[in-house]
Amino acid sequence: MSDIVLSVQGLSISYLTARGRLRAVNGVSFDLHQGETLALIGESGCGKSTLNLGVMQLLPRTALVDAGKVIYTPRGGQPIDALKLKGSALRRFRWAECSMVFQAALNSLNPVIRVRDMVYDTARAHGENDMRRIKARALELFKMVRLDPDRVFDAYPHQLSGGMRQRVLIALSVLLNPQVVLLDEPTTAVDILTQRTIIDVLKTLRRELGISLIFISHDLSIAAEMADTVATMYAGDLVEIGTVNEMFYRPAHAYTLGLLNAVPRLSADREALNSIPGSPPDMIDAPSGCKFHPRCSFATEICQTSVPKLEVLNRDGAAHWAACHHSDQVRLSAQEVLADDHAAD
Amino acid sequence: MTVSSSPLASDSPRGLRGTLRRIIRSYAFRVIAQGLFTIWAVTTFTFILIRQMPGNPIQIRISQIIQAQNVTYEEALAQAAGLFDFDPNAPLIVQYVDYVSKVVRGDLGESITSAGTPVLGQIMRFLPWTLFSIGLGLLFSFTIGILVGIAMAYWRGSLFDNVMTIIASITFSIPNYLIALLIILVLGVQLQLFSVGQLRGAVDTDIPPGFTPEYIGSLLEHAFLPVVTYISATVGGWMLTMKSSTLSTLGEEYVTAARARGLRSWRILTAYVGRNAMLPLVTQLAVSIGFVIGGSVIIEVIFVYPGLGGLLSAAIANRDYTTMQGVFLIIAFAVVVANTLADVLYGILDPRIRIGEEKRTR
Repeated sequence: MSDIVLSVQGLSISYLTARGRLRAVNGVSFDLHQGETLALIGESGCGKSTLNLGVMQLLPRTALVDAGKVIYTPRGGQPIDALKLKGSALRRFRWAECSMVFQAALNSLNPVIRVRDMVYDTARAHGENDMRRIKARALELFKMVRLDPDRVFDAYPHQLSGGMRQRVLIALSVLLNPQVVLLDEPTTAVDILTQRTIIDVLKTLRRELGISLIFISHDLSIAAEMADTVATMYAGDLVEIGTVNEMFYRPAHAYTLGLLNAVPRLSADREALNSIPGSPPDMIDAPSGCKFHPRCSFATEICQTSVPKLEVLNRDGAAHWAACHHSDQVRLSAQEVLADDHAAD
Repeated sequence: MTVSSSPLASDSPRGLRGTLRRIIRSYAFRVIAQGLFTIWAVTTFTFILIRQMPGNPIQIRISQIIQAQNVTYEEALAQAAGLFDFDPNAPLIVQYVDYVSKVVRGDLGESITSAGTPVLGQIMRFLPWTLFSIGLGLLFSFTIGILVGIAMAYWRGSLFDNVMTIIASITFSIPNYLIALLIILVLGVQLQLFSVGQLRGAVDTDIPPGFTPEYIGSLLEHAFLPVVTYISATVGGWMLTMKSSTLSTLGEEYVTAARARGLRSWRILTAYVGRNAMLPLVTQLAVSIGFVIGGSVIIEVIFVYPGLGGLLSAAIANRDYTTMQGVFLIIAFAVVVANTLADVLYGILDPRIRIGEEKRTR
């Protein structure tokens, strides 16, 4: 396809720790199309945030990119490898092409300067000198994310609530009209009503600006609502990726199914929540074969010895890949759960 | 649904009572009130201390007068009372009120040992030199410490960082009077880089005062050794504190966010890292001013520099209690002023401190 804006190809990232190398992202590949929203789901520590930071070359000093490419295609330009960018080219790529909304919204704004200075800093760093124009743009964006533009523009971060700061960050992320925005759990730290506002704001921005989003979330319901494509990560591996309907109605990896079963349902009054037993593996000394096998109810001998490959499931239907030896059984089991749900309705 | 229900705009107080309340709640008022309270407490404390000291200074003075001038006790007492500028037989509370009311009017009494010399005049003669040398020392030490500290944090683990950490730890752990003695011994006596004798005093008395290069040069030359001592005794502390403060700031999300926004490194260094990392040091600066003034007593004696420290040590040696009282008061006053300035500076650097005021003014 020609409308791919961001193509992550075999990206591997390790952290150097006192105990040895920790593979936080392990040969991850996916394509992000223009206007597409990709949701990355998975437990804490599975490498989602590291992947995002890696794309922006914002990894801490202890992290190393071992392999892989991040091919970015600018508007009307030739594809470039974003990981090879350096110096001022890297500075220009950041924010003007690909921006980011950080996880810790409360902490992502410099406490000692006003919001307007952060807006101006960002614009100036990208060669924009017409501050009147930038101010007008910022105020328009603040209005779009449902903030009181004039008050927020002149405020210090501590004068804004958590939800307001989160929306300031979202507005700031599209200030320079980037093609891709990476969102790291944009709704985690805010209450349920603010969550709703933020989701609506993101949908509006996506519709009106035509940006592509990579959306990290623990919250499957939000992923279901926002995403076109969903990708599951486990212990640094991308284990399943597919369209949102395929992933939620016909999951083919035992881990994805486990995540889905762990979500409370309105209709399910019959049983307690099924959490996934055990905890994520030690990533320095990972289990052999499929890394999920010690926690998996479908696991057999082959899962302990052979690493499953990401394989295409529907040859002619909607896009769907999974890396599971027992994807057929998982799908059957998923059908049963869904049928139960329908019966309960 | 615009979020405009601002808590800031509500309950704006009106009228005279409102204005009064606003003043009382304001940041500046709080700072000044705290400062005045501290000065009052020190004044009271010195007053009590002088009267509780073993060997009542008045009695000592009286017996000195009796011995020296061969007069009766009553005459000596009258003389001593004249020197002390208060009636030692009056009730303590009357003495206290008398003393405080004089201090408020700027009258610190007269020196006991050299009669007829007002203490305030003495202090005003010596204070500028102390302020000059300490101010210069702290200014350099703070600036150098902050710049080197940031550099150490940016290049942590490098040779520069390691060497600087060692230097800082060593200089910071040597007491300032030892550094002063080492400077005289090594640079002055052994290497003969300067003549110790010539650098006595604050300035070369042969040069006429004025804004001439010679005079200013001589001022700096004479202040050089004390200033170098102050710098080397404190700069290590600034370097190490600034390094650790910068390191923790570098880990903050807003610094990563600033990098993600593609900001130039210089802007990130100054407005995002430097300014936040400096905040804890500003408070420390105020505290250290007190310490340095206290420490200057010995340094000024060692270098024979005519500052407040020299005056105080002479007063202590001669049991000149009024002068001691005055010097203590001035030191306390200087520390309070420095603290207030640091508080105001902190308020400028960190908007979160100004909350109380901001709420009212917006």
